[in-house]
Parts: sequence; C-alpha cells; structure tokens
Amino acid sequence: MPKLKINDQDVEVSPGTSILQAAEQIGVEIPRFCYHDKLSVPANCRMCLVELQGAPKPVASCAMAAGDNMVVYTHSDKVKKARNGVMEMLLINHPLDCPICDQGGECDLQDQAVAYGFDRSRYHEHKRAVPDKNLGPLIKTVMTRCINCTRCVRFGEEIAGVETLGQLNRGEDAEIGTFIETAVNTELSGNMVDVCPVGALTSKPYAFKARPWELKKTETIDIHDGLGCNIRVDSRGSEVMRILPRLNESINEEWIDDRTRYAYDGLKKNRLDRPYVRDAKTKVLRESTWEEALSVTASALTSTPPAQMAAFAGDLVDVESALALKDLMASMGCSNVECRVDGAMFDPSVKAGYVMNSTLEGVERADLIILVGVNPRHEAALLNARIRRNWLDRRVKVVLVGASAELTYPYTHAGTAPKDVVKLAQDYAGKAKYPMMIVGAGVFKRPDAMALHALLKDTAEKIGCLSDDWNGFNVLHMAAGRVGALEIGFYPPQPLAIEQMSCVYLLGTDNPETISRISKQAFVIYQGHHGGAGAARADVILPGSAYTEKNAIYMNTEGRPQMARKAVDAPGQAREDWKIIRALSGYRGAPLRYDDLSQIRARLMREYPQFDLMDEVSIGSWDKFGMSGNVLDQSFHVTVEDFYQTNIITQASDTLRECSRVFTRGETPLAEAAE
Amino acid sequence: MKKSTALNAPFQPASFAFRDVTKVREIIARYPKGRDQSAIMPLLDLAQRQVGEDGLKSAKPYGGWIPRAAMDEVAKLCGVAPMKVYEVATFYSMYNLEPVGKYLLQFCTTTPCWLCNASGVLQAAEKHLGIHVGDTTDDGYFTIMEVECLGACSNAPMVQINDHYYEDLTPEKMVEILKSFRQDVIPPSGPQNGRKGSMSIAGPTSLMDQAKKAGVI
Amino acid sequence: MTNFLNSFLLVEIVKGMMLTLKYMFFVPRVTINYPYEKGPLSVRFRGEHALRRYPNGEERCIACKLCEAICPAQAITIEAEPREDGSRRTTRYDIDMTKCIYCGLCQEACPVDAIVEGPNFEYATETREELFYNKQKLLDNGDRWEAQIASNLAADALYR
Repeated sequence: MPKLKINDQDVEVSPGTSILQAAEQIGVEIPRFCYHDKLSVPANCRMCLVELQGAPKPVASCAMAAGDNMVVYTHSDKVKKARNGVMEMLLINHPLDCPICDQGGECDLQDQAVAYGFDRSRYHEHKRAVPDKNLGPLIKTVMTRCINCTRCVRFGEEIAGVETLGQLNRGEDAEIGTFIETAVNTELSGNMVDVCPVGALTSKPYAFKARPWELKKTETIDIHDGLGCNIRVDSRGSEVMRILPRLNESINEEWIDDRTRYAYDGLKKNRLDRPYVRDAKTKVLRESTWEEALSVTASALTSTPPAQMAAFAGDLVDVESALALKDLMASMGCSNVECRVDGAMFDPSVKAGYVMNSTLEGVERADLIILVGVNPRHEAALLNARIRRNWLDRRVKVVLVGASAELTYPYTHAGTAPKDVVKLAQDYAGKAKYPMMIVGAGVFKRPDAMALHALLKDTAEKIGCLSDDWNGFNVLHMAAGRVGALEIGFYPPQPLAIEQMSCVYLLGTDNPETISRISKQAFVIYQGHHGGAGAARADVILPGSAYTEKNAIYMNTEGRPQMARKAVDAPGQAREDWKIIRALSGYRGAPLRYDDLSQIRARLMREYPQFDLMDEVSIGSWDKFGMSGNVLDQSFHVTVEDFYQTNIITQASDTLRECSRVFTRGETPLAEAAE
Repeated sequence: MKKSTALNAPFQPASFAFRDVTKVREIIARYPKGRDQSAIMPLLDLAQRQVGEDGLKSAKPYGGWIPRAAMDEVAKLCGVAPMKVYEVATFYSMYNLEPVGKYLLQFCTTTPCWLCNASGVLQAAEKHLGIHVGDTTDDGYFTIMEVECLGACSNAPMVQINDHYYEDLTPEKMVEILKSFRQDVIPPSGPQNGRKGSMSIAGPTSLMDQAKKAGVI
Repeated sequence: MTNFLNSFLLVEIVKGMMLTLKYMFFVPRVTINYPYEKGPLSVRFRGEHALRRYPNGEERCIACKLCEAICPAQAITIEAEPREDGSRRTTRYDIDMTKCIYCGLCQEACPVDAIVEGPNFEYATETREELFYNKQKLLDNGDRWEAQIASNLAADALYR
C-alpha cells in the first residue's frame, strides 16, 4: 500500500492507483481533459500535470502510479505555470465561439480556462480548421473545437464496441475521424456527447435549444428497458429538454443508451391530454370531461359481473398505480388481473424465477455467460456493455442460443431452440465457477412457456448456476413495469381467457398480444399517456402521466425498487395514474383507503416489505417453478426487431423514428435527403 | 496535405492481396503470440513495396503506395479494427496513401540542410521537372515531397530517392541526377561531391592509423 | 438692530426679486420647449431596447442567452433552435419592458452587440400589452435607430 504526501497531506492508496485518483481520494481536484474514470489512460492532454519532488519536470498525474514516499504538489506555482502553458496550447486552435456552442456553460475547457487561461492570445499565425464529420442523426460535430483528447475514440473501443472512430494524421493535421463517412452505429452513441470535454460532439436533437443554467434538474429513473437506468431529466417550464445519465455503479455506471436519452421528444407528441368517451350514437371517440369519463367507467365496472372483468397493467406501469388497480378490482371481488401483457406466460410464483438473480454487477464476476433467446444489445444495451467489459478484461466465454445477433464481442452460437439449451447443459456442466444464464423474457411468448421455464431451471442447475454464493439464473425483462407488478401479485391464479371478458381495463397496455384478443363486444377502458393501439380500441380514455410526470416506484429486472421523481407537469387534464384509479373508486361509491402518495406507499410497504428497501436488491430464495411438460421444438424468436421503436413513447419520438430509419433499416438520413 | 482524405478517393482499388504469403507469415511470426498488431507497420511496408513493383510494370509508371484495401487486409491479418491501421498509416510520413511517382524525391529542408542551400537544390529540381512540392510529373516518373530531417546532416543538403540517399548536393548535381533517373539509369547513391561517407573532402586528417586499417586511404 | 432693519426694509424679498429679474432678462434660458426641443443625450444613454443587424441584413443575435441569464429583472425570454441553414438563431426574443430596470447589463453581456439600449426614450404606450416587446418589434427598433446606435457605439468604443 503506497503512502504518499499530496499537498502536505498524507494519503495511503491501493497499489496501481494513479496520483490523480489518490488526490481525488483526499478531495484535491486535478484538472483533466483526456482522463476519464471509466476509460483507459492515454495521458495526451497534459492538463493534469503536478509537481513531483525529485522529478525534473512536472509529471502527468493521470498516468503516474502513486508510489511510496512520493511528495506531490498539485497547486504550486510551477504546476500553475505548466498548466497555463498547456491551456495556452489547447486554446491556440480552439475557436472562440462559446456563445454559439451548446457546451457553453458546462464545458470543461471553458471552466478550466477561467482558472488557467490567459486573457489574450500570443498566437498570430493562421488557425487550423477541421472539416465536420457526419456521425448520424444523434451527434452533431464541430470538429474545429476538438482538442484531440480521444475520449470518444476510447469510448467507442472500450465500452460501445464500435471502432469506427479514430485519431487520424499527425501534428497540426491530427483529427478525429471515421474512415468512411458513416454514422456511428451503436446504441450507446449519445454517451460520446457526454464524454466530450468540449463542444466538438454535441447532441443534435438538443442543438441550440437551451442553456444548462436555465434547466431544472430532476434525478429520476428510466423506463425504456428493464434495467431502470438512473437518469437526470433537465426540464424548462413544462418541457423536458434533455435526458442525461446519472452515476450508479450498480446499474448503468455513467452511461445510458440512445433510446433512453433521445426518447424525450416522444413525451410531447401524441399525448392523451383530456378524457375521451366513445359516443353511443356515432361510435367515435369524443372529447369529454373527467366527471363524464369517470362515471361512465364506474357504471361499466359496476354493471359487469366480476368474473367477466379483467385488468391489465402494461409495460411502463409504476407499482403504485398497479397496486391501486389491483385493490380496485379486489374491492369488486375480481382477481382477473394480469401484467404479462406481452404474452410471455412464465411462472410468476417464485421471485428467483423471473428476476436477474446475479444482479448487473454480477456480470463482472461471471466466467461463462449463456444467452438464451436474448439480444442484450437491443434488450438492455448497458448489460451488453458490461458483458463486453468482462470480455475485454478476461475474455469471458459467451454462448448464445437463439437468433444470431451482431454483438460487440465474439460468441459461440449454439443453436436456436430449447433442445440446444439442453445440450448446453451437457457441454458446460461444471466447466465454470460462476456461470451465468441470461434468459430474455421474450422467450416465454409461446404456448409451452411453463414447461420451458422448468426446463431452463433444470438446465441452469445442471450447468452449476447455483451455488452458495452465486445464483446465475437470470431473466431479463424489457418492460420496466413488469417485475414491480409481479411483485405485488398482479397476475391471475389461472391464465385469463381474455376473449370472454366483457369489460377490460387497460392500464397503459398497448401490446398487440393482449389487445388483439379482446372481444369486439367488450367495453374497454384505457388509461395511459400516449395514443396508440390501446387508446384506439378504447371506449373510455383516462389520460394518465408518463414517467417524467409522476412520483412513482419502479422495480427493475434485478428486483431493485427505485424511485422516479416528477420533473414536469402532465399535459392538459392528464393526472397521475394512481389518483385516477382512486378517483374512480370514489365514483363507484367504494373509495380506496388512501388519499395521498404517502398513504398508498405505506399500504404498499406494509404488504410488500421488499419495496421498503429502496435501491437495494432483495435476494429471493430458490424454489421450484415452472411446470414439467413437453417443450415444443420451436426456435426462439427475436424479441426486439428494432432497438429504436420498442414502446409507445419511442414510437412517438421523431428522433428515434429517424434513428430507426437510418440505423435499423439503413436508409438515407432525412437531413441529407433534403440537401 | 491531409492523408486521411485519400482513403475515400476514387483511385482506390477494390481489393488487395499479398503476393508473398510466406513473407507475411514470417513477419507475423516475429512477434509474440497475441501481439499480432505489432506486425502492422512491416506489413504496411510490404504492401507498399508490392504496389511499387506493380507500378514499375505499368504503362504509366508509379511508385509504392498503400491502397485502403491493403490496409483493410493488414487489419484482418493482425486481428484489429481497420481504424487502427488507418491511424498508423496516416501518422507516418513514409507510408504513401495515394499514388506517387516512380521515383519519390524526399527533400530534407530542416535547418542543417537548409543552411547548406537545400532550398536551392529543391528549387532546381522543381524548375527542372516543372512541378511543385506535392505534385507528380505527368509522365508518372517523379513526385517531390518536402520532409523533415532524415538524419544525414553531416552530408547536407540531401534528398532521399526511393530507398537511397543522395547527399552533398548542389543544384547542378541535382539536375544531373534527375536526368539520369529519367533515363532509368540509377546513379550511385551517397555523397555526390567525391567524399567518402561523412569524411572530410580532403581525406582524413586525424585517426590516420585507424583510417588506414579500415582501408579508406 | 441690523435684524430689525433687514426685516423692516424687506431685504430678503428684494434680493429674491433681484434674482428673479436677473434670470428673467439677463441670463440665457435653460428650460427647453419639449417635445419641440430636446436636450443633449450621452452616448451611453440607456433607452429603449433594439436588436441590431449586420450591414448585410443578417440579424446579429445568436441566441447565446447571456442577456437572459444576466438580466436581474428576468425581463428577457429567449427560445432558439437551428435555422434552416444550420446557424444558431432565436425563434423568440421577448422583453417585458414593464419589468426592465434599464440597467444595461444585457448590452454589456452581449458578445455580438446585438441587444442594445438605444437613444430612444419616447415610447410611452396606452396599454401595458404594448410594452411586451417581441423579436419583430426589437428588430424594427434596431432598423429605425441603427445610424444613431452605431455612432454611439463607435464613440464609446474606446472606453469599453
């Protein structure tokens, strides 16, 4: 354990720690551009120079490992002078266009120029200009601003797994470029904008829209996939201006995928902002009032026998509203509630059977990863990034059973059907200490789901996924609301015969698997935030709020409850979902026994204490699940066809539709077509 | 001249294959297993020479350069992303990323050569060939490049023509050499003013015994 | 005794009347016949706001939002997005003149001399709403007063 002195303060660090990191441990901040916590260390910006006693020249602290008895000064006159020099060099070719630069106000170079910059330039020669690159519909480039820190290049190589960016040429001609003019085709490209310390890479959809100082920052969570990435929603007035990642080492580290980052413009379009009722005569939906919509709904619910009623909780539903809906149905003596609306009828009776037991951090421990019917790149891009990290560090073996996919690490393709999984059990039994089996929840969209579930359980046990300190059986959900709803028991004792229901309550449910089965005569109530398949089929529409517009609890695919916080108001007359259900119970004459958020949460925690442990994973015990039976010899199908169009918010987003056109279907970008 | 712009140029051939496969294998085998990427630079050089050989036979001759297809091939052989190879190839000035003349003239114009009238030599060549730095003559014989120090300062001024150094030049001597090359007669390389190596022109003045032993006088 | 004489002979009154007479007949007049006559204005006078253009007609404002940020009365509202040619421009530039305190910080903050407080001070209106200036109104102001604004800026350039 090296002990060293930084600014006369003693610090002891673990071997291999750099001086920069050691300084950070005692709260001394050293300026840097090229160094990034999560990326490799190139030491090419030279901003982090420090004075090391005994060294003839200042040393780059990011690349110098802390050694015993080192004496380091991070802010001496010599250091200041060296950094002034570095800053002057960096600014030689940096344009003075901060007023029109989107990075202005949150720019590392701008901030550090305040501390180390000289107020005028001594450089009178021609400045260099670098042609802008076309990096696709998400990233805007102004390459003249680039200081060649190569963070974006390293991000592409080390995290995203796309090596299309590189540092070309040398000396004055050095530039970041792609070898052929091509969009950066990765689902994590937005993070390059974040890692860029200057305004060379900026967000295209956010271009010129707002300044960081005028935005309200709300720390919340994401619902576009099952991971529950931690995000920060920046809003101005009632408008979400952008979405940024928030550090959470257990889930998303400091990255988010492009769907999470760029879906926000979908929150402004195609919204249900007032109640609608289908007119009895014209059979057309017409605008209505809350009073009318709620009383129509209440009388429909009251007049239907409980056995012919069913309620569905969709992909993006929070725990509170699902609980309120379950309580409402229970108060009418109806237990026909279902959250597996995508038709993935696995066995929900044992928690360990439907969550990610290894947790996301567990991916780093795994020494064998078996992917069953899942494309992690599309279903959970950050899980994929973790697998890639593991592969880069330790060359972990990855085996895929299911449709072949373009992943960012090499893998063995071992078949496409359940029988191939059985074969795996023979091939890999006992071969690994921490084997990890990741099953996409989409594989259960088949009639033999229960039998398949049991089969996968057996296979996992045979491979050795279960030991005293390791549970390697994982189910990866795409839907953010699914695990939460399962945890509060939002599923029926027997699979529902949806066709026979005469009154159906769709809470944010737009999945065709459910909607297509509803009978033509049924009375359909849709409660949600976007107009889609559910709203089109509905007889009454109750406008709810999206994830940025409510305080709510979600449980991610690991079984980790997290709090979403309200950033902006819901549009028009839309209300928070659990409040609508509470109001509806009042119209029925049997109000639910909670009047505010704290009361419904108290009710939730009382019955389901696992929600009391916010941000913690509670480990479920391993038990028997699934049902023995015949498994069909039928290939696993692809769950996500298009990464950019997975739910009703992304479908409303212009940015993501454009991404889908360019990246998924390979068409010409609209912007270029217009030129 | 930005080298990276040539990567997408229309003169790029569609494909490239190494002729001397044993040599390729030998080069890769030089480096420890798993460090195949160390072979990038020698393989690029091999590719450049191979293209140069083809250029000699062409109706309009050209010198060695590295097509993008060759870089992609090197990337495949070394198991790295093509981008890594482009980074290397664009960095070093000795890799030509676009066609050059059969004889590539690399004039050193760094301080010692410049003090010894390198600019005069360069101007003489430019005037004789009727082209400027960076250009190729219409017959495909010569390309003029200006480079930084080539490490022959004691014999300044100098020019590198393909793989050989021509040193102790004068403008007149330069023109003579060019005329000779135009006839495809390759004049002897080394100092052009009669001196041996970097020895004084009047012969050795010190260490006479060693000079005798070495047989230089 | 002196006090008595002073008050008895109305010395103060006479003195006052003398002063009045002096200014009535012997000293040049200082009042002016506003609005037909106007007093001189400093080149630094901070009057009605205007948005300026470049000589080629291009608006100067680049939507950097520094004026919005610095405005102590929060009278400025800006919205921006890329114009068709890709340049950064405002889609909305509103000043609530009833909030404005004429401190001049907006023109200090402006990196391109776009927003200025011009020499005009005669813009009283009958309704409050007329004082909510939008971008068009501000640009029109700029066009109308450009000559004088430009000369004022040039005269003051040395000291800025």
